[in-house]
Amino acid sequence: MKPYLRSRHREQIHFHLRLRVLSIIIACGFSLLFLQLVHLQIFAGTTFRSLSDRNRIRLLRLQAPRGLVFDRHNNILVDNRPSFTVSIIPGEASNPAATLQKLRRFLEFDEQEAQRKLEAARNAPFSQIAVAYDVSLEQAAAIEECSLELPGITITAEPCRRFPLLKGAAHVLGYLGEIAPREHERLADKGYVIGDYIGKAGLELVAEEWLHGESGGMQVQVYADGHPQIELDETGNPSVRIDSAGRELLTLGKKVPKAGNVVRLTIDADIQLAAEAAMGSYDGAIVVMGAETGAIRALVSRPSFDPNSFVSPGRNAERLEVLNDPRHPLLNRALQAYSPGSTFKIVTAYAALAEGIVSPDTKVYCSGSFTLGRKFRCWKDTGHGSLNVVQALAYSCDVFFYTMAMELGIERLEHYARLFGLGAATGIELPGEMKGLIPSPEWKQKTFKRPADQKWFLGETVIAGIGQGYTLATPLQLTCAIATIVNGGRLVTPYLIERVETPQSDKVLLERAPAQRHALNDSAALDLIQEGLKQAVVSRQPFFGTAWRAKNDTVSILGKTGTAQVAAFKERADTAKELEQIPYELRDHAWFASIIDGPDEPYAVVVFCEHSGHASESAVLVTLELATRIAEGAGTIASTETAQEGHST
Amino acid sequence: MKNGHRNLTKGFDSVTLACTLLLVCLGLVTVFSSSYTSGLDAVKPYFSRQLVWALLGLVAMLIAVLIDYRFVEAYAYQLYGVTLFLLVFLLFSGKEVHGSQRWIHLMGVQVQPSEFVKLSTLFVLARFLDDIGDRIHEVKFLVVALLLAGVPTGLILLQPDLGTALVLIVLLAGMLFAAGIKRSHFAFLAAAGIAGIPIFWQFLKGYQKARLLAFVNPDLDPLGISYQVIQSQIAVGSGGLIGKGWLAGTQSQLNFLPEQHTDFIFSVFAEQWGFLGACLLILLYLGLLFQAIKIADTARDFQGSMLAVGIIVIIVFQVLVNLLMTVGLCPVTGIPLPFMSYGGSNLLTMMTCIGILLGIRMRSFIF
Repeated sequence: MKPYLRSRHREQIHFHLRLRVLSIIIACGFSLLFLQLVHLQIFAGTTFRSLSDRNRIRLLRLQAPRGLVFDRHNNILVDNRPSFTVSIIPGEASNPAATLQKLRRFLEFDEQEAQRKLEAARNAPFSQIAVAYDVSLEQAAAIEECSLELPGITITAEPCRRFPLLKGAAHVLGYLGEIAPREHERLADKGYVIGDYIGKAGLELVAEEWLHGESGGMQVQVYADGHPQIELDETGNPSVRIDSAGRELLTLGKKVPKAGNVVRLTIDADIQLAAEAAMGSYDGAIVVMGAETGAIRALVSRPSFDPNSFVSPGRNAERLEVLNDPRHPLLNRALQAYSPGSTFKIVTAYAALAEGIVSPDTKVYCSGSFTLGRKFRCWKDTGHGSLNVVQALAYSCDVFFYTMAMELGIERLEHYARLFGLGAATGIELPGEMKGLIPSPEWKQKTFKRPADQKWFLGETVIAGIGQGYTLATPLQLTCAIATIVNGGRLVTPYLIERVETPQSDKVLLERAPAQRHALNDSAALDLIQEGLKQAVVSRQPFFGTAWRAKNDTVSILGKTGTAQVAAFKERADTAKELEQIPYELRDHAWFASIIDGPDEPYAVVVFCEHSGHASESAVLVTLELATRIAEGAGTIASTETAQEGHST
Repeated sequence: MKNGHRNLTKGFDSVTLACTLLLVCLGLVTVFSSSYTSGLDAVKPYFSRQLVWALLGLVAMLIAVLIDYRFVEAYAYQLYGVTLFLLVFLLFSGKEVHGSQRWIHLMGVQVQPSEFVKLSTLFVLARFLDDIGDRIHEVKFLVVALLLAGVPTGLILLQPDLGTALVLIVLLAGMLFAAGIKRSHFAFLAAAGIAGIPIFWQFLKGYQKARLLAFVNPDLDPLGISYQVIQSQIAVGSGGLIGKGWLAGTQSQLNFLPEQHTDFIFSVFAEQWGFLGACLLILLYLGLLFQAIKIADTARDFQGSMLAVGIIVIIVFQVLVNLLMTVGLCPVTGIPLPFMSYGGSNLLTMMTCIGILLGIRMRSFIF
C-alpha cells in the first residue's frame, strides 16, 4: 500500500480548474435535460396527456400474407382469404356485458367463453378480446353498419390460409397451427409473435421459411370513439387508412409487410384429384411419380382431413375430432412402412437374374409348396407347374421366389433390396418419412435381446424372398423401386418443390433439378421384369395374371400386385373365409405397384389399400380407375373444381 | 494507519449518503409500481428481487467504506487481470440474452461481469495515472493508458454491449483530462476517436445499428425503438406539472412502455410524479455529483482524486445518457439509470462506487 503523498503534480496541472470544467459539463447536460422536461411536461404536457388519456396512438400489427402454393399447371393449391374476427375492447364499451347481449342479435357466439375472457383481461382494459372468429362478410358488414349501437365492438380482417382442395392433398400441403411457446422462443428473432400461425406439418412446415413472409406494422393516431380498420388489398396485403366511423387516420409510422414467397410444386392437381376419386372409400395411400424424374404428381393418404379446420379457431371441434380419431387421419400413410408382400418379388427377380442364378429360360417347378424343414406354401395350393421368371412374376408364384431366395442367400438379397432404395429414406421434402426395414443376420443380432431370437433362420431367408417376414417398405419407396424398371435402372430422389419464386414471381429463389443415381446395370434383367409385369396384366393363358383386372383398351398398365399379411396364417384360420367374415384389423393389406403411360411421361404408381383383402380386387381396380381418369380427363378436373370452390367462399 | 476510527467518522459525508439512499428508495418505489401496474404482479417479482439487491448494495457500500482504497489500489493490476479473464471466459460460455452474451451464472444468480469491468478499469487507470504523475506528457505512457482501457472495451464490444463500452471510453477520456493530459494530445485523441467511429460501427449488431439509425430517422422503425421513444415521451409529457400519482400512470399500466422497469424507469417515474418529481430527482443526482467533485478536490492524495473523478464520470455519463434517452434527446443505447433501474449488478456497482467515495472523503482528514 502506498503511503499518502502530497501530490505536486495535482497542483501543477491545476486540478481544481479541471474539476470546474467537469462541473460545467455536468451542469450543461442537466440543463439540457431540464429544458426538455419543461418542454414535454409543462408546455406540451396537456397534448401528451390527452394522447395518453385515450391512448390515442395505437400500434397495429400488419400480418404478412403467407406465400401461395401452386401445382405444376399454375392451379392454386393454397392461398389466403380475408377472415373477419369480431372483438370487444372492454375499456371502450361503457357496459361490456350489455354490448355482448346486443351483439347476439347479429351472430351466434359462445357467451360464457367471452365472459371468461373479459374477466381474465380485467387488468388490460384496452386489449382486444376476440368474441367470434371467421364471421361471414355479410355479418361483418351488418355489425359495422350498427357500430354506434355496439360501443367497444371492433372487426378486424386478417389473411387466413385457404386450402381450396379441402381434404385433397392434405398430407402433402400439411396444416398450420398457433406457434407453440417453445417454437416462439426459437423463432422470436425472426419476427414471430405469440398467436402467429406457423407450419406444423407437410409443406407448410417444410417450406415455412419460404412461405412465412415478414410482418409489418403501423402506428396510427386513433379517435377515442372509433377503431382502426385493417383492410386487405387484392393481394392480401393489410393496411390501415380509416376507422370504423370512416374517418381518415393519421399514420405516424408504417412498416409494410412483406408477403411470403410463391412455392410451385410438382403436384398435378388433375392427377391428384383423379387419385383422390379413384381411392374411393379405401384407407391407404397412392403415390404417382414421374418415373424418369422423381417429381411427385399426386400423393394421397387416407383417411384424410381438412387443413382449413386448423386455421380457423371457430372450427376447433372439427380439429379435435381429427386429432382424436383412432384411425389417425394426420398420419401420412405414403411415408409409413408396411410389409411389401409380393411387390418385393421384383427385387428377388432382379437379384436372381443379375447374379446369374436363373437365365431367361430357367424353369422352376411349383407343386404348390416348397419344403425346407417345414412346408412353405404357394398361394396357389394346386401349384403353377413349370415356370420361367417372366411367368413367375406374372402369376406371382411364391415357390419360384422361395427357391431364388434360397439360392441368393439373405446377404445378396439385402444388397439388391438396398440398390432398389429400400431400407433407406428416399429424401422427399416431407417430415416423418420412415426408413422401412431390410432384415439381415446382423440386424437381427443387434435388435433382439434374447440369444435365442438373435439367430437367423434359413426359413426367414425363404419368406424374405416374397416380401414377408420382417421386411418393411413405404409406398413411396416402392414407387421409386418400380420406377427403376422403366427408367433404365436409375433410382430417383422423389421431390415435391419444383421452384420457389418471389411474391411477384420476378425472381427465382430455388430451382429443383431431378436427382438420381444409376443403381441397376443389368438392362436385360430389367427388360425381362418389365415383360413379367406386363404379363401380370395381359396374360390369360395358362393362367390369368394376378393383375388381370387392370387390362383395358385405353391406357397401358403394367405392374406387380402384393398382398401383405397382417396376421399369421394360423390366426386367419385356414378355412377360406369370405373377406367380410375376417375382422377388419386382421384383413390383408393390398398393394399394386405399377407403371402407367401418362400423356407426357410414364408414371410410377403405387396404390396401397389398408385391410382391403386381395390386391387383385382393390388396389388393381383403384389403379385402373386412376389410369382411366388420367387418360380421359387430364387438364379439366382441377380447373373446374378449384373454380367452384373459389365461388363458394 | 495507526490513527483510529475516531478520525474517520469526522469526515463522514452524510449528504452523499442521503442522496444515494433517497435515489435507491425512489427506484424501489418505481420498480414496484411498474411491475404492479402491469397487472401481472404475481409473475413479476421485480420489486422483491430489487429489494434484496439494494440490501446487498448497502453491505457492499459498507465494505467499500471500511477498506482503505489504497489497499485495493495496491492490487489494481491483479483485479484487472481477473476481470479480463472473466470477459474472455464469457465470450465462450456466456448465456445469450437479447442477442448478446453478458451473463455468467454464479450460484444460481445471473451476474453481469461487464458491470465489474467498470470498477476494475477505474482502479487500474487511477493506479496507473497516479504512478506516472507528470510523465503523462510522454506519449508512451499515454499509449499504455489507452491500452489499459482499450482491451476491456474491445472485449465488451465483442459481446456486444455498446452501453458499457461507451462508459469505458468516456471514463478514460474523463480521467485523462483530469490527470493533466496535454491539450494537444487530448485534441488528437478526440479526433482519432471520431475517425474511429466507422470501425466502432462494425462491431455493432443489427439491432444496435437500427437503434442509432432510428434516432436519426424515427420513421425507419416506428414499431421498435422509435415506438419505445415515442411512448416514453408521451409518458413523461403526460405527467405534466404534478404527475398522475403513484400507481396511476396510464402509459405503464397499459403496458405501452416497453422495458419500463429497466432502461425506461425514469418515464414511469416522471409520469407518476410529474415535473416536480423529475426536478427533485435531478437535484438528488446533482447534489450527489457536486458533493463527489468536492471529494475529488479534497482527497488526501492524487490516487484518491483520480478514483473520485472516475466514479463521477461513470455516474454522470450513465445518468445523462439514460435520462436524455427517455426524453428523446439521445439514441437508445441500453444504459440503465444508476441507483434506480431494475438490475442487481448495476445497483451493486453503483453503491460500491458511493462506498469508495465516502471512504476517500473520510480518509482525507487523516494526518
